[in-house]
Amino acid sequence: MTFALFALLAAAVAIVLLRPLLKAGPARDQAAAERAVYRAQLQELAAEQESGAIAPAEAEGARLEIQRRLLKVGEGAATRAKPSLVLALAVALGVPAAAALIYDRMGAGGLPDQPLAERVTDAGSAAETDKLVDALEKRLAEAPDDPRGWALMARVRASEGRLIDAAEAYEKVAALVPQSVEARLGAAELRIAAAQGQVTPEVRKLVTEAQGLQPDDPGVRHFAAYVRFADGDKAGAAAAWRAVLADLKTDDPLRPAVEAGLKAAGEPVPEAPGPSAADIEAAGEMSADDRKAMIEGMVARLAERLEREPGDVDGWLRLARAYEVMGRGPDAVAAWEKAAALRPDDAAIAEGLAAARARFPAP
Amino acid sequence: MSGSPGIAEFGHFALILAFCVALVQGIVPLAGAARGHVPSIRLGDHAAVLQFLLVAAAFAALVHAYVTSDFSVLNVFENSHSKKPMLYKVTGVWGNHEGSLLLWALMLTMFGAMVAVFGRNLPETFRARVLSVQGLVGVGFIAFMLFTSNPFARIDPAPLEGNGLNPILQDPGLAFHPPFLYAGYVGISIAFSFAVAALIEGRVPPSWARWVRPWTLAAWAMLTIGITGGSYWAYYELGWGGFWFWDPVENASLMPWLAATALLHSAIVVEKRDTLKSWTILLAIIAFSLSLLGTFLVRSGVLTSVHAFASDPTRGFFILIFLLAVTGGALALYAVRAPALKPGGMFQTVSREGALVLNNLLLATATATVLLGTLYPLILDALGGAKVSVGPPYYNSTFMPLMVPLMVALAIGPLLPWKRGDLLGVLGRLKFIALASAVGGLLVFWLTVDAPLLPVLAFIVAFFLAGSVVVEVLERVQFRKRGVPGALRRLVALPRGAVGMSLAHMGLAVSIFGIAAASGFAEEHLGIMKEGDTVEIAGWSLTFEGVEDVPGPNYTATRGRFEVAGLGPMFPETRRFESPPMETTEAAIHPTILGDLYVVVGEKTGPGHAVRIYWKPFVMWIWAGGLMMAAGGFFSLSDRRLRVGAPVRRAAPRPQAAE
Repeated sequence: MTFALFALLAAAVAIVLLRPLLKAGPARDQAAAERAVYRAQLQELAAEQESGAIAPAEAEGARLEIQRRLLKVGEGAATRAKPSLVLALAVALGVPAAAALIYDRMGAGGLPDQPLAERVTDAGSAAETDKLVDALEKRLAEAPDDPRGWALMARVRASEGRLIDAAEAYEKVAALVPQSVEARLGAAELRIAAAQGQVTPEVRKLVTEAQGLQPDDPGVRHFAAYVRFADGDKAGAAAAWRAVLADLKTDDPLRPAVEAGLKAAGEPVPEAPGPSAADIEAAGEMSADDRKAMIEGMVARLAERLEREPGDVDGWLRLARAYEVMGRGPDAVAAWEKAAALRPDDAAIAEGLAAARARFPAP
Repeated sequence: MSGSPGIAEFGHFALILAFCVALVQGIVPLAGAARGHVPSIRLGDHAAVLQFLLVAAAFAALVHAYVTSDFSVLNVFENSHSKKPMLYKVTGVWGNHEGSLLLWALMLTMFGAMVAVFGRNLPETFRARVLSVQGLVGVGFIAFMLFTSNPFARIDPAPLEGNGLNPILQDPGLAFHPPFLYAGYVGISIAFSFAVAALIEGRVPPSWARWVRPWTLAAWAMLTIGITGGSYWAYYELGWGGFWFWDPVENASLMPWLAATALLHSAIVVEKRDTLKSWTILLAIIAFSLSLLGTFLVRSGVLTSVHAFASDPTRGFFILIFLLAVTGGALALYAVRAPALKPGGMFQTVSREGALVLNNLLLATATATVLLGTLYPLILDALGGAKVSVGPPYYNSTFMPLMVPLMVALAIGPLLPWKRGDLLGVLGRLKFIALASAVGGLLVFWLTVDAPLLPVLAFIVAFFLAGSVVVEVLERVQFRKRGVPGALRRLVALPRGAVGMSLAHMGLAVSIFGIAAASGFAEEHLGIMKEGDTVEIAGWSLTFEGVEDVPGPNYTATRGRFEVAGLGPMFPETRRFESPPMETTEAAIHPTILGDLYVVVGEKTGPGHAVRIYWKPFVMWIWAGGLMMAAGGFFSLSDRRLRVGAPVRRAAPRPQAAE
């Protein structure tokens, strides 16, 4: 597709519009169409009378009425038939010119289509991830006992927004590594998100299992408190959350979730940078635009805080993941780099950085 | 500029060209008709066809972007998703504000092109004016799209994935009934253009009514199908067994339908008796204004939430200006010209004309009640007042009582002759029907112990209407005089318009019967069922056999299994979508002529599942009646008489040579 085609289209339009304007022709009889209708009415009337649908006297009255209409039809107005060159030129030049002008102001110039299929074969970012996901799926089909593969799959699915699939992948990990608390909490968190905050029976089971494994883990205690909260035990949940909060470091990634819980339970929160439960609830009712704005605001606040406290590795990791979800590739890579610089020996961070670089190649 | 522009940009350019052509179409033929300049007058036909082709190209380009998941088009990014089934990628095109406007424009220009191509029976000058008015409406619409809601806005670089389509819209029913509704809404624009053109010319001859009739009929029939489809969709998708909720979306389609129904009937009086002209013109203007209002208020979601209105004031402002220009402009013209429309034939109160006038008054009042009920909460909300919802109680006490006299007038009207009628005579002819209906209604009342009053009344009215249609047809074919074979021969030879009328009136009776039965005599069982539990309802025995999870293309379903004695298993589902996360219910429905068995399975609650089971007697009759009405419309449309005045090509190969 080139601009020549645009020009061709505009020219075709001009030519079609020119044809009637340049052709002289006598006016047609304006009244003929109207008279045709009344003649038809007379015929219908005759047919109805013949078939007995209307009495002769009534038919006569109707006939008179229609004949009166026929007489009332005037002659067509006198018309000029000569083409007007000025008008023809104005239309033939004006339409393409106006269209070109408007398009120049509004159109996206030479922007080509970007269909998904093309971008995938382009070895671009999407292609890389898609290929990796395909490879991962294949590997897991052949070796379904690989907990690391399933953990990776869980993260991939979560980033795609397929929450239930992600939770199921974590549950596979939990089945393969019976002592894994993390996998159970990951699955529980995703299932709660998928159910829009509700505690489903699956969640209950996961949390109970985790409690059996590591009852003192802050994450386990947090989710246990969440289940109590969902069951209506606000006071109990709040007390549990307060206890968890006391055991957490200021920059613990779990902190915002616990604080949101406390707030939802109607408790005051010491200092709260994350979204409140009310915020989250509001997000559920918001339009897509508003929700986007809220998320962007939260991310911006996090980025601001990290400017002030650049030593917070977990903060950078959260920021990096947020940027990835939002599709802000370069920002995500930059955040990963900050985290990697702070903890150069952490293999998981290095892996994440590499994945982000592959997904969002530098322009 | 870099690179070569893609198909999306080509579509954008085509839409802009269509806008420029619409401008020419809106100005040149109108001016030509006023000055008697033949080439300008003839430009209208060419411009109308061109405009349609250009908008069709733009529409095709947008469909292409959806099908290929081109997320560099903002509209596709916001409303589609690469993992969506192909069908919903296509139907997703009109599942959003910008795309639905483009579909609207496509239909609008399609109707314009049809007038240009099939409207050869119209006087040339008149046709030019009609097309010009149509062009001006097109100018407004395409400008609205280009300058406030451009479906071709781009984002570069393209995001990786789209936001998805509301799962509740991912259903064949909802995918296909909007195009019918739109065709109906937009079809009424032709009646509007005819009315405005007639006002500009300053005369409304009886032939006008015949010319406008096929367009109104087609639009009305489409609208009927759209409303019927929408109601059926609500019935099976929303999972409550209801078929009409009086919500603004439904009302937005009902109002133009009521107005168009009134228009259809008053136009008959214009055609037959050369009177009621001013009212008919007014109705055409109102009907289209209500279509516009419906589109903007509800389909595009611009005004439904004050939020959206405030977030993008340009849109709201443009809409107000546009509505004001279309409705206000046409009404101003009407105020100037209507007094000059001299009424023709006289008639008495009791006559066919009189019945049609009564029908019009009742329909207009009904439209006004629906309009009030729809707008009042919106206006109150916009003014910062309380949030109120106007629901069935309001309509039951305003709209419904209007329907009863309307049905009675409808039953009697077709039996009255033109000019002056004999009411007592007609009532005499209908006395057996009336008696039978009353007895039937009382029988229902007696058989069902605590029957509510309104449905019983509706039954009586439905019986009476159906009976009178039968009487009317029998009289028309002179059954008594000619016996069965003669009557049958006459039935076949009846004008299709008459058959269409009887079919549509019968359809209405069937619908009312279904509505009365399903809303007055439904049975329901709401509760929690454990595996193995059995419920008896309306003679059916259902055993709950548990649920299982079933994966779908882009959702996971919880599928319940109910064993119904003497029928087999039924499988209602609750579907959980991932992007965006949402649940929809898919009721399991066993439809029969006598009623529907309707089963919904909900979430797990304690030891069992929340289950809703309904028996909806005769509910299918509602939609069967709707389809009968539409069929009646199409049947009428095929009437030979509507094509009168079309050039007989063999007799007059060059139209200029006629007369």
